[in-house]
Amino acid sequence: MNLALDTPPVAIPKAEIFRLALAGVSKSYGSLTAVKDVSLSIRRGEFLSLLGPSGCGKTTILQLLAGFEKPDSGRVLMDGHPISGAGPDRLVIFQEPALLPWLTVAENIGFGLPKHPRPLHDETVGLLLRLVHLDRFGHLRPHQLSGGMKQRAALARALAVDPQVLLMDEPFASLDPQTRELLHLDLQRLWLGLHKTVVFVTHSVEEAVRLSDRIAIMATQPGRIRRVLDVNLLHPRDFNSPEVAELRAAIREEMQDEMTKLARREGDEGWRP
Amino acid sequence: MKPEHLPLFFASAAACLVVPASVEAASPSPSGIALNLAHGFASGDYFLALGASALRIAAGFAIAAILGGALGILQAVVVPVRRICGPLTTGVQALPAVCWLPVALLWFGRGEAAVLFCVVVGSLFAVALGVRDGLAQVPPLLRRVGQTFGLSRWHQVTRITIPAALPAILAGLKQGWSFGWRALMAGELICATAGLGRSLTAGREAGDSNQVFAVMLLILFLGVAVDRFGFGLIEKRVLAKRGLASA
Repeated sequence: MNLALDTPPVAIPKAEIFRLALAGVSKSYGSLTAVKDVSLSIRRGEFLSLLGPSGCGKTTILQLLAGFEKPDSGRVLMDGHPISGAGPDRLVIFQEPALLPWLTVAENIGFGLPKHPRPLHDETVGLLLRLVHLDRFGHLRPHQLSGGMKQRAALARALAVDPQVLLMDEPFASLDPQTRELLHLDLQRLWLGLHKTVVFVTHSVEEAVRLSDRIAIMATQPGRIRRVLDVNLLHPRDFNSPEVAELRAAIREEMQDEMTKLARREGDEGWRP
Repeated sequence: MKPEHLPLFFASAAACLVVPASVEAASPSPSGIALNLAHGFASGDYFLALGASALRIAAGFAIAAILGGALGILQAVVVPVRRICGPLTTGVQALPAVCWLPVALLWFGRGEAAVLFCVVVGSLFAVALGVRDGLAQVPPLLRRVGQTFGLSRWHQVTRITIPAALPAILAGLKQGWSFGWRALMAGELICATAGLGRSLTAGREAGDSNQVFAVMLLILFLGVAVDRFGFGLIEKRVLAKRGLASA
């Protein structure tokens, strides 16, 4: 049984306009080539993880999709149109929660909402607070929250503007494992309910396997996409099932090369994984 | 009393014994100071002096806040201006405001304008530094938050930049005020017809040490009051909100 099917590299059917697409995108910072000739299409409502070691350009791809950076060559598209800058249709969730410290949690969550009459605004914020289980904490300031609570508030703040796309840049990397697991469940519940397109940057194989429809495995030097795996498994995923084990093994095998490269770059001849 | 304090004690005692009469008139006493304060307030002289000084610092500080704010914004936004004026601002800010007094006298003569000039240049550069650094040090991550939410340039400034820079701006204003206050006293000592500095000079001219100390107390009181209950309280509230200081 082969659950981890390769998707064909190009072959974009003409009828389907992808939510997001990168076509032959390269981006350098000075002499450093961050990503080289990356092509990737992301369907509406899809949860795609960019998985790879540090320095593989996964964050660069996210920045390009967000519109924070412009490609040196190639095209970055949303719904078939070139992305010219950042905007609330592609909301970014950063590794740090990036809540505004001078606002309360409730005010932070309402940050991106358009100007509504007071009662409607408060009702919307209340709804969002409940959505991420922060109902009791709306009056607090960000510094009074734990890391996981802050990231949930950041998620609610992003969902408030009802973006078509969520771009998540290792959002749970600095959380402890238990909190991370809770947030995985929360994110999954929200994603299943709200049908957002999610691009999720991570270096955790477990995280990618747990959450994704597809996993783009990236390689370093220069940053590029090595392989894209489909994950045809139902949610919630059982981590002890043979299917998940098979998938993880496939990913590890793909990433073996990267470990060898890392060892060669940061160690001497005798160091091999 | 600790043994090492003995020499000091004996020296003081000896000094008291041999103080000549003229100097004795120049040593203040707590009762003398209190009496002087009572007389000063009863006659309205100290109210006038306080009022005159308060008016000058208010006017001077308002001008300094506007000019300093503008200079700070200009330096934060326009890179060439920051390159050229940045080190200059930092340097001039370190110059004691008293040093501007001769310039003020040369340009404006002995009058209100000279005093006001001292106050303005005394506090202007501290304000500019606070505003400049506050604006320049807004975390890039917070700017990005504004961008991803699609804020307009105007909202980026009003909803991200200014609130993020507020603690540094407040610190600059507070320092500017305290520098301006010192400059005011220096200016009033030399050239003013009314004000706390003038009362200080009057006390010296009359050889009345009680008055000198009474006025010093008033200056201290006003300085501490504004610092603590004006800027201090605002700053404390702003910082406590952000978890940067205990409330």
